[in-house]
Amino acid sequence: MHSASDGDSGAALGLRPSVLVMQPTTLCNLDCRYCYLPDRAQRLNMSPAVNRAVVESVARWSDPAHQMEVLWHAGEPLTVGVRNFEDLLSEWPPGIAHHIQTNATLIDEAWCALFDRYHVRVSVSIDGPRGMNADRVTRGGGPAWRRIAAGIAVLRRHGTPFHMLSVVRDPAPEAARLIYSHACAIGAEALGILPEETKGSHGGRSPTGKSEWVSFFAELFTQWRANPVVRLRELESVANCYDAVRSGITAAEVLSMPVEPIPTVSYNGEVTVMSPDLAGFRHPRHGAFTVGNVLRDPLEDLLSGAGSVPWVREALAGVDTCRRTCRYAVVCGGSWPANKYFELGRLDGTETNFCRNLHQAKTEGALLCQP
Amino acid sequence: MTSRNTPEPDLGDVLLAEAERLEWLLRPIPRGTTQPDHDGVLVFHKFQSMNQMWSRPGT
Repeated sequence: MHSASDGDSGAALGLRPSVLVMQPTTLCNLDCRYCYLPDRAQRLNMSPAVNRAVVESVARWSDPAHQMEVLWHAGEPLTVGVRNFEDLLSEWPPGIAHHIQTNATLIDEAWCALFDRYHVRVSVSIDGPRGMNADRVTRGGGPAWRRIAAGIAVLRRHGTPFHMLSVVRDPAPEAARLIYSHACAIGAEALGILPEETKGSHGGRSPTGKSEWVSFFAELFTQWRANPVVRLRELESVANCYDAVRSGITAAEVLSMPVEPIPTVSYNGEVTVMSPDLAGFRHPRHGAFTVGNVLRDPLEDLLSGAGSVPWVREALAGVDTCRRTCRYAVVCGGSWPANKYFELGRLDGTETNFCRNLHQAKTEGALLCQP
Repeated sequence: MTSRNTPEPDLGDVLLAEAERLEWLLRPIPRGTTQPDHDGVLVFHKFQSMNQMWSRPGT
């Protein structure tokens, strides 16, 4: 990946993203109790002009040798409606892989047909079987489970493959068993786990500690090993790390890796880098977490200049410190500035609960598994 | 991997010391076509999809 450094920090931001996040709307039709999105009650949809500006930039840097994926995420993308979403997708050149993160409640046959036409890969947010979704509620405060399950049923009836993303508050081993079993039962292709985070407008914090998360992941991986039919994102990332170590990767090589920029384009064209979860928030000293707007400057120029934006420079310094001081840097890469900011109050911080409960715990959990 | 400010053992050494156990655990994952080399790039972010685990420049 090409990269740009500000010269002060050893870590540099990559210029060729492997993933680009598009936020087509702020609105979500659910009001999950752990959600961090500040504007999820408002409908602020992305304009065609914003979408077009991004597409034009991507077309300019398009390179058949460089694979890039677009993730449509936050609030609930399907609230923009099938026709409006197709208008956005139809502007994109062929060859771009589109992904969507959805709560599934609005999925019907028309959406499935759209996913087919544009080869959109679907990931459904569902925390486990019915009893584990109590925090997922409608705007009226009622349980969202029935609507989520109905959307998944449509996907299955239509034969649309999908992934499952589960937010976990209580990492009891029994929860690992239930979640994996549910992923198998609903026919998910892959399962991702996110420990509930202290982030954005969600200030709550899981009272659990790292050791419980280690046990959770050990049990999850054990369940998978006995019946490996649903891919586990967290285990594959441990495999990724293990393969890197086995190939002889050095600390210097990790230090020199460009930081994945993850450009995130908000509904209004503002661009955040390094962490989509910072989009829409403000730092008391640096102001909004943005590096500019695609309606004023091409996205590639915004990425080139991002390393000199003060809040990005501070975040890159945090990456550099993580990579220099933490033994887990080869697992997580040292970035994750939203977790640092919302947990520690600073972008150049290092270890967070999120690090301990996810990156460290999944690695140690894998090491506990045995034949 | 070398960590400077921690007395804990190097994570890379730990992983290699547990290679037999990890090979058993990871065996069902189709890693044959994704073996890393020194041109490999680790991808770190929670939005990584499965096929981004290893992305190599120029491939």
